[in-house]
Amino acid sequence: MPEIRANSENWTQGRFTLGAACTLALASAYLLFILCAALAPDLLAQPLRPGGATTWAFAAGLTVIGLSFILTCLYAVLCNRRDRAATEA
Amino acid sequence: MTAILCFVVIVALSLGITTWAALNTRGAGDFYAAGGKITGFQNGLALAGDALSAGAFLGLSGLIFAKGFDGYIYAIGYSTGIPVLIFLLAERLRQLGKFTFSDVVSLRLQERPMRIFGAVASLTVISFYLIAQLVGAGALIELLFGLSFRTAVLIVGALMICYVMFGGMMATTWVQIVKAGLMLAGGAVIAFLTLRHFNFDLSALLEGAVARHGKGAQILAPQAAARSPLSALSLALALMFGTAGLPHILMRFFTVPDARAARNSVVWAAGCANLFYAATAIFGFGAIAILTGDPSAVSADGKVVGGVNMVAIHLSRVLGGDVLLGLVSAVAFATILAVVAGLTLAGASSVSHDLYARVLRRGASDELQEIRISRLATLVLGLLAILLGIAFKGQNVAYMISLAYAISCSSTFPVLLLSIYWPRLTTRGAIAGGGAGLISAVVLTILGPSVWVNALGFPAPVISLDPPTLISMPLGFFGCWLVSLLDRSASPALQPSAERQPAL
Repeated sequence: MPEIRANSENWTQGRFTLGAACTLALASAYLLFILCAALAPDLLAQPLRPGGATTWAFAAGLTVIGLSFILTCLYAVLCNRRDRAATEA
Repeated sequence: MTAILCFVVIVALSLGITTWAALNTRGAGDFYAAGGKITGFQNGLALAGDALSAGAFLGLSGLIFAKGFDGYIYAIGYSTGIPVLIFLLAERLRQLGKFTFSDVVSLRLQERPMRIFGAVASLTVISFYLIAQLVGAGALIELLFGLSFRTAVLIVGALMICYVMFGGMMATTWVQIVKAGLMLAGGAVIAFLTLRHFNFDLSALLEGAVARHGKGAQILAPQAAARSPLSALSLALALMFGTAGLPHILMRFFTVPDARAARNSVVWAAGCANLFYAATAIFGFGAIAILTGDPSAVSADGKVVGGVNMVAIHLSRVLGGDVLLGLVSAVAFATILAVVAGLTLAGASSVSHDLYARVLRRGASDELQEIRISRLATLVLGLLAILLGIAFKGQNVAYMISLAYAISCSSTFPVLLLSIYWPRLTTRGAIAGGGAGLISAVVLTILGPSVWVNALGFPAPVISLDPPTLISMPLGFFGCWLVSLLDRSASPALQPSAERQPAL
């Protein structure tokens, strides 16, 4: 019984770190954006170029959208790599 | 007339695929999980298709049209959902080899209570999500064919019931793949035409929107968050973690043969979906600039013809004439149909697999009977959705979906997450926490602005936090944690299954 418990804990902990890290990274970026919108909205309302209409809000929002995709790719690549290493080991 | 023709062609195509799939359905494995034969790319498209339901195209365009950047915040939030799902849950579910939410949590907690909870929570979330889709579809048919909203919703409901009853997961997966492709193509066309209208100058597009919108330059940055920061945070949490608790999305990870394909499918899905979410800004702001003042789309008092969800449809018509109108409507409709089918299937399998096969018959049911029950459940769920869809006429679809998310991230998500990662979770803890999350989310939603004021007509909401995630999600987690610690009963360890295929 103790070995089984140890196995399952290793199994959850080893892989937990990457998923948790990615979630943390994305959540931080996203919540930072929302906090900025709530506490310093004027910052986001500034235009990217003086006189232009595109505001920093758009830049920030698109960064979050882009980041979620990039982190997904990163996660998949790292997991695939780890899988391959495990089968070759 | 051209529009209706294009529309009918595409819907007929969807029906053709369903028939093909129905003829290829062999057993419960095929009915529920498409026999595990889908490739990573195909599943990725299907998953993206779920994300690009009525909510994304119709709802988000409508939200941005009405509120400017405050509507775009929904799009940004939705884009974080699927990544979080794969980071936290998808891998474990595959390794455990289990089908549904209830299957996973029943691995180490007591089966009967967990299956009952799972079914109740899933059906609640599915219901909200279903209503949103049917409202969108009803508005679409109403606008296109000139039928009454009621008739429109009835037709959609009937079609949806047929899809699931006769095709199962294979039909929905293949239909999802086809329509995801069409939706992406359609979105690309509209984005292209909208940008071309402004000589591909995004700044000019936004300036045009500012000039036409009632709120002027305020639409270019978030406004609502500053007014109610707690609601903004609450919404952010719901959009980010709600996807991970949705029952029908979880089932998508079992239609691919292995973990590598599952990961690849999510990369494809995230890429396509996020591109689309980013593009909703073009649809929404472009619509403000192009449609405002056009009486065929927006009446004199500012109301959109056909309801708040029809902005994207009007945009297609104005930019591309009747042909584009027909095509886009058909794609939007097929999209909704497929998502509705997926939702209904998840709900039906909750009833047949969880409640009937495992709880009632204690695992001793025969496969054919299970499928029969599933089809019956589809019928009932479909009828319920039709009734509620009629009742919620006029609500914005993306907004209603966020309510479904608020419920799922407070009930199924905490239980799922903790049952996988926290060894000390007990059955009582899971029921207490999940139940607390579910009840608080539903009650606070009913007491909040969306139902209390908008649907029931009271002047002021009892609770102004909208959505109630900030209260209900921590409540869900806290309940699970507290009751598990207080509960002295044994909490067995979680074992990954050796098999890759879902056990049946």
